[in-house]
Amino acid sequence: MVIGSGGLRCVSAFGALQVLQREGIPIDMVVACSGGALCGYWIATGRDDAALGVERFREGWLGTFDNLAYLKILGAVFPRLFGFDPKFGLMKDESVNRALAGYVGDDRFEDLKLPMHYVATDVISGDKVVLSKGKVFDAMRATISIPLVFPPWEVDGRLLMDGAVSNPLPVDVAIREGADIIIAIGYEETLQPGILSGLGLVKQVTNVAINHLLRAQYAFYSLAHHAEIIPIMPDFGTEVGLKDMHLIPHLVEQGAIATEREVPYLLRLLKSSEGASA
Amino acid sequence: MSADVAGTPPAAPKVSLVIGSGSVKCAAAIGVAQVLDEAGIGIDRVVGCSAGAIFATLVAQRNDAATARKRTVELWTKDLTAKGNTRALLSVLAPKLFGFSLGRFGLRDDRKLNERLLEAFGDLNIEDTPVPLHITATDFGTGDLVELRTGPVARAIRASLAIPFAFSPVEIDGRQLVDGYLSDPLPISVAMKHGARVIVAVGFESPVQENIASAGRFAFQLSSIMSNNLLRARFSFHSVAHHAEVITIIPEFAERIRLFDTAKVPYIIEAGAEAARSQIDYLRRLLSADAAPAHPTAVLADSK
Amino acid sequence: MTQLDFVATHHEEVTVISVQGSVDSLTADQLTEALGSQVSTGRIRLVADFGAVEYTSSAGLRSLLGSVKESRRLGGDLRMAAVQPAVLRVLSLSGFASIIKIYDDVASAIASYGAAA
Repeated sequence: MVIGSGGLRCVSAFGALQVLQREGIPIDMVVACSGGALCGYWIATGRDDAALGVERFREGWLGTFDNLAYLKILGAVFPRLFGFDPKFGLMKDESVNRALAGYVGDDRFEDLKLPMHYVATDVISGDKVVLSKGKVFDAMRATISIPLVFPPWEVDGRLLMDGAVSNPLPVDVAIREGADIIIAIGYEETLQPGILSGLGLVKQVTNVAINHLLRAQYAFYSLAHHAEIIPIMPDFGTEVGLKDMHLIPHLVEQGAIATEREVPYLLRLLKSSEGASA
Repeated sequence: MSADVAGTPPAAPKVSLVIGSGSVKCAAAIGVAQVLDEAGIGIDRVVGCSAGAIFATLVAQRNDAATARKRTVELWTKDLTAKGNTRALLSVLAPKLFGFSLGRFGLRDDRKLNERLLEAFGDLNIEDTPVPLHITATDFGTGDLVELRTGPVARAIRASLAIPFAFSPVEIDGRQLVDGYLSDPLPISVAMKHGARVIVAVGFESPVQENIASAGRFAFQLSSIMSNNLLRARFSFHSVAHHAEVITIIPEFAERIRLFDTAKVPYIIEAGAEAARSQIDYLRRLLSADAAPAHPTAVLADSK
Repeated sequence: MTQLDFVATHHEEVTVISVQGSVDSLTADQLTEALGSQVSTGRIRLVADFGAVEYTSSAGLRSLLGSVKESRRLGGDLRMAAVQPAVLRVLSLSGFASIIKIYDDVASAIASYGAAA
């Protein structure tokens, strides 16, 4: 399972998980980026209660973004433009650190039932970084570090941030680690046909960039893989902001619906690979 | 390309040249074109993105290196972005009051830029250049790459250079166009689409810094990081998707090149020439094998 | 020279193919054949020793990828070792470094197969 970045939309991966568990489709590896890391961890621990996972996700998310103010961030970046004092407009990370610690405790990658890999980005070089060992907390905190929102996190002497800016849907890691059938849950950003404000301009530029990165990488990864990659890209029908927690049930449902569509083919694939020689 | 009727020399080997975004570093393409010319290798198509569009046009006009260098130095100076655009600033703070309009939004006054482009290229149209020319931009509403093949060169370059926030978008055919680098910093796909076989792609990574002391620097770093990752991602895809060869030249500059280091242009051109020289032997062999009439099976066939 | 040289050494479960020359459009077919002939005789755990490869082009990468995929399809893998800096740069830029395992030396590459078993 590869679960890409997508902010709050990543909770829909639990809906996908529900369907896969119901159908008895086994998962043997997890790769995740940014928000995808939360469901990814749940899967890697081998827990079979996806609904509980959603609850724990919600608990962790609640209150984390209460102090998020986009204009403040923009003010820090473009002080003359938005008329604020130049200051690093980052949120304090106490609440998110607490939430993550509550979610993963002291677990280490080595303790998990399944092999798991998170991706993050080196702040100085921009390179992709793969995190596969040590404390899950550190890796998760690194991969979710949304630029300009959360401070970057240091792991093994490297300052790391959100994996989304270097590898939003890290199928490559699964390929390199010997995966066969890959389910890739990814989220594209919605673009606005008309831009009505400076803030809208910033969002549009970022979203255009992320979408292109995701597609270009995915195009390459699909050509490079020897087996099947099944993309699951739920359609939410609305823009989903980091604070839109009331949408969680809808997001989970859409994740399940998008996965249902792939089940017949998945089952056929699994059956044929069972019959094929190892 | 088979040879002759008696006395006619065989057609010269040709490549398609793609010049990616990279501001003044794109001048390295002049050095690359020079080396190709010296090796007797013709250019049958040029594609340019962002500042690369300026140099693509200079190459498409069949300028010699000295003229191209002169035009570069005249065009690219600090005062291109010196003047601000106050109304745009106000429109961000109070979009309804001051009427935020995407079409007019750019923090820098673009009059100087437009003047320079007109001085350099006059009323030249893309479709009239001696070598077929393609300039790329990005449709800001859809994010799609847009290929400009007709119309005034000056306007197309202005669109390809429309860095979001810095310069206002350019409306062409009902679309708001911005900097081509947003959709693809090195648009090899355009050359591929037009049937190119051997492609020489000159691309540049955006500078990343060690010292990020402010939010503004962090945002700039972020944009460089995303652009570099997109460059690599697109390049990865093109490498495996193209049926023939892509010769990539991504010059490394020992000295730091700042946005308006026009004084460094000769150094930049030489760096491009040197990077091209390191690949010219292979390129020659490739093109001569391709042209050899005795072998009907294409040398550049897909490996299975 | 449009000639690649290959030397294959068989270890217990792993076969090392040392490549010498330039891996490009003119030689890609030779690489595909050399690696393919190993795979077809059942040797699907491969290490490509690139210590003596000074240049790789995009066409060369495509043929390498073809062999990687083929060995993986059969349950094996192709890993790389001792890649020279200039070639490593091409592998990184082209995304190959993120989908293929690359090791500093042949011994580590061979050992990596043992670790997974």
